[in-house]
Amino acid sequence: MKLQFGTLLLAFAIVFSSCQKDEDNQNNNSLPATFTTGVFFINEGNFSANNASISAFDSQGAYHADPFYEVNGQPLGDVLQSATWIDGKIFAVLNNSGKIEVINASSFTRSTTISGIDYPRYLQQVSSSKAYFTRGAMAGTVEVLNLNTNTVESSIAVGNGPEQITVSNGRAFVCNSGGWVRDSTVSVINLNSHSVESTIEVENHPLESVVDFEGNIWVLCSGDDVYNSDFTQLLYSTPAAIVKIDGTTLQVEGTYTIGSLGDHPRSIAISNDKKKLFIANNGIYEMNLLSPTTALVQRVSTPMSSVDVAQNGDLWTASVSDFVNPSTVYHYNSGFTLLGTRETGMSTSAVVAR
Amino acid sequence: MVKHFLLILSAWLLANVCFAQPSFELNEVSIETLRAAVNTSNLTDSLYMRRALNESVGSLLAKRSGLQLLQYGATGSAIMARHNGLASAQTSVNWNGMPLASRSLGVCDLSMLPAAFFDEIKFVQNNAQSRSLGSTLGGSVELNKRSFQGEKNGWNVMVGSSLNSMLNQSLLLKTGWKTYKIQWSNAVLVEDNRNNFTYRDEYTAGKPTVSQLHNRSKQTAIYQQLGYVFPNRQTKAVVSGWWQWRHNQLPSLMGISKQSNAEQMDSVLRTMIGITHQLGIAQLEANFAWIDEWQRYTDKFNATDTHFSINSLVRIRQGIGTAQANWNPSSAWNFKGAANLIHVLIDNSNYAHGQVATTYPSFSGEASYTGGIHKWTAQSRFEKRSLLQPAFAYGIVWSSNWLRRKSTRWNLDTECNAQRKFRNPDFNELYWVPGGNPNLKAEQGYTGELSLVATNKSMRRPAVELRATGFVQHIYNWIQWTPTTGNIWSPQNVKEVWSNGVRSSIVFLKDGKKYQWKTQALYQYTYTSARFNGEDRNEAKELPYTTPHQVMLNADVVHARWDANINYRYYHLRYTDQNNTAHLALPAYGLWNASIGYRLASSIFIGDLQFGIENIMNTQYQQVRSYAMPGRVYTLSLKLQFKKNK
Repeated sequence: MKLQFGTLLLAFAIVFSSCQKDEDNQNNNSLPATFTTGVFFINEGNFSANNASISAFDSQGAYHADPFYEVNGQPLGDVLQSATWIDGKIFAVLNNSGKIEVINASSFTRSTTISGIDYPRYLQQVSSSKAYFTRGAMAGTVEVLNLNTNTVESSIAVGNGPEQITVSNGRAFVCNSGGWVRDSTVSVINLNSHSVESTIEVENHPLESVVDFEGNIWVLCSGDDVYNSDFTQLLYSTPAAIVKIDGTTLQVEGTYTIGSLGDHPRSIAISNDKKKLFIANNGIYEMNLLSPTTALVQRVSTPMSSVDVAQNGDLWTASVSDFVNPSTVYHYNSGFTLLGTRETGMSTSAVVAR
Repeated sequence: MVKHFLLILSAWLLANVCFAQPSFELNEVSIETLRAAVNTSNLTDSLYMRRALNESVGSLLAKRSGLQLLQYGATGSAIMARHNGLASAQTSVNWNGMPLASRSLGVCDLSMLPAAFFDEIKFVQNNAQSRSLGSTLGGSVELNKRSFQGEKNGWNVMVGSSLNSMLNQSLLLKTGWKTYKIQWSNAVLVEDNRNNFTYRDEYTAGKPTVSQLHNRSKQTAIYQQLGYVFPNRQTKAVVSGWWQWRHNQLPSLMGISKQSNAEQMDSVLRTMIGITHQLGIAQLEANFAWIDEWQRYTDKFNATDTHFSINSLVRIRQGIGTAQANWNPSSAWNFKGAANLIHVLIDNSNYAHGQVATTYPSFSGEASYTGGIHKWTAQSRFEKRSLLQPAFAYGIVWSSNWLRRKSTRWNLDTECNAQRKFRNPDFNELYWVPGGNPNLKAEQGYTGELSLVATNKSMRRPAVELRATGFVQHIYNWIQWTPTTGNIWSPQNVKEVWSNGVRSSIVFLKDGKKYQWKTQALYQYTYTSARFNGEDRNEAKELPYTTPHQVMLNADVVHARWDANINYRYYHLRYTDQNNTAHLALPAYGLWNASIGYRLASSIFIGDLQFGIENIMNTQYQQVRSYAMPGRVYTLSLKLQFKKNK
């Protein structure tokens, strides 16, 4: 009896012990889908949860919640800040992981990992062999990445909290958002010398810029909220604005305040003909760049956190995520007819349609 | 009488001055008895206490109870308890009745509680809440340090030390002295946990083996207790003081290619004075306590941004006064009542004007009747944080021993309880700037449990106890932080949660002439279902980090001078997000631990030499997503005890 009882317990334990899954067998390493074309959703994920992802419709139209995980058996990382497609590769910039995952854009297999980067943000190709990426929550830099070797060659000091980069007329325009402090400048980097040739004063918290049909730069400045020292009282807000920079003279040609005081839009996109600007701010608004004005045309009334334009001219927007439930993306044609909605991953910050 | 009282009061004041922190206040109280419930499990048997040296209450509960623990790294890292699928803030932890949860965060870090400081550690599965000052919707962990119980008159000294393969070392010194009038006990624990271990990084390409370099934890803790019996023998006073300091390096997350710079320093002083007086058939009790906690968090981020870093300091001071009465008019009836006044003062730069102070009362009452094989208990509790936020708890417990008077081989007990409970919001939820919501309501819930317990009556046979418990819980006004206008996060009463399940356990105890054998097996199934207000019931999902299946096996054997233990814990797959995404879930894992000990004895001392292996199978696992846990660890410890009894 004693032996039987002990044996029973041991067997009980072994049964439960053997219930542990072999994690390596959970992953399908031969995903048949290809992603040469498709729609890709950049899901930032939750801070410290290692649950960032790129979800996608593949070239055949099938939806994949996390093809990187399906193929590689690992999550992408922690806080996907941005993803950039360059020559058949995706450069996924993972802010809290401090790394850039270089992924085969067709198969989603990992090509390499560029690691050991403090606070990386956005990456932009600036020549056939080089890309820039921004980093730093405070005093920031632009890192020069060799696309052939995937190594950082040099570093360029810019303003505080550098964010997105736009290229026009042999120059890179870097929005210095301030990061955890305040900044209101755009650093202009000469692509030949890889040095800052000018710093342009704009409005508070420049986040993102686009290039229009004439090579001019349109910068989204998100505006600021200023509190008293113990954060108990909002003292004042500075307005959000769109700032136009002449792409040749680097002069500020116009400043257009947008939204209401206290609005802080975080995403803009430009139409494929480069003549219309779309702004995500408590809805989607349109600015005609041929006759810019502060009176924007509202195209969508639903609050959105991001707007992106696909190669076919369709618009994709993502709703404000609560970081608890999955985000929802909305698909519109160029006439703003809603074509469909889709639940995606955690905190979708951008959509790329190729 | 007055002279004696002043003596005790002076000792209490001296204890606080000796551990001087700049200023302090009161804190807390005491609870006497937990309901004599079939759900109560006492985790500190003498054999376990023989083995334990530097184990925290969190580590002990993980091995010996049905609680689910969430540990944020190796030894010294924060450990939070969850029970029946509910959140950590909903399981209370009390020291002689005093709630230990942080008033600002609402949770208690169980890694900060040295198990060696307590004589009794109980886990109460479904605390009735009537006499506890801690808000709870789930169970409670009760830590008790007895006075004038157990020890014989005389003195004793115990010194112990342990070292493990992660280069963690500890030194424990306990002394005691007891006469018929005075009992003094003292414990000092010094730990240096280097936590040198490697782990497989699941979130980095190639899953490399990574060395943990920033997870060191250093701790010093002192516990003092002085008890005094007044000459009238009807009055007893106990003064307790507990000071602790800890410095933790916080590890970086898995998948992050740089080491963390974040560090946390905690310092806490808890003192309590309790006076009980027996007045005929009534017992009167008054307790005064204060607590003074400091928590500093620093993060230098990186070498290049040296001009910017986080350096935050939170200080929490509490004072608690209670008056309690226990009246036994007959052997059948018992009445209890308590009135409490609680004052909380928190300095936190994230609160309005950097500080929040509040004072509020709570009242509780309990009546129980025992007749024949039945016992009925009715309980109630009222807490009033403000005019807008009164909160009530009440419940009824019915237990019966159906076969007590029958000539059967087995006893069969049942216990049925139904309760309405609450958890008041913590201070961060109320006052954090920006986003704190002073209009939050208390989380409310209805719970019900039915337990069946069978035990064999024969003293000649090995003791066997079989338990099965079913529980249902419905919590509403569940608080969750959600983004609001301007992307500012704010806590809201937005969720409803159902939690249902069963617990079952077997305990087998044989006390033979040559050996003692105790085996315990526990299985718990929990199904939680949570949805946001307004969502369809079909949209309900399982709560993150709730394990549906949990198993604990424990076997102890003692033979002559040898003792051995084997322990197994199993946790099923746990989702880590609200949407229950399968590939983001943490996989199931099982951990095997074992130890063997030998008792040394001479005419002047008793010694215990122990060798243990934790995580024998070197299992790679995570309790909280992205936080690495150590693999196999070997520990060697030696304890020597000297006694002289009168």
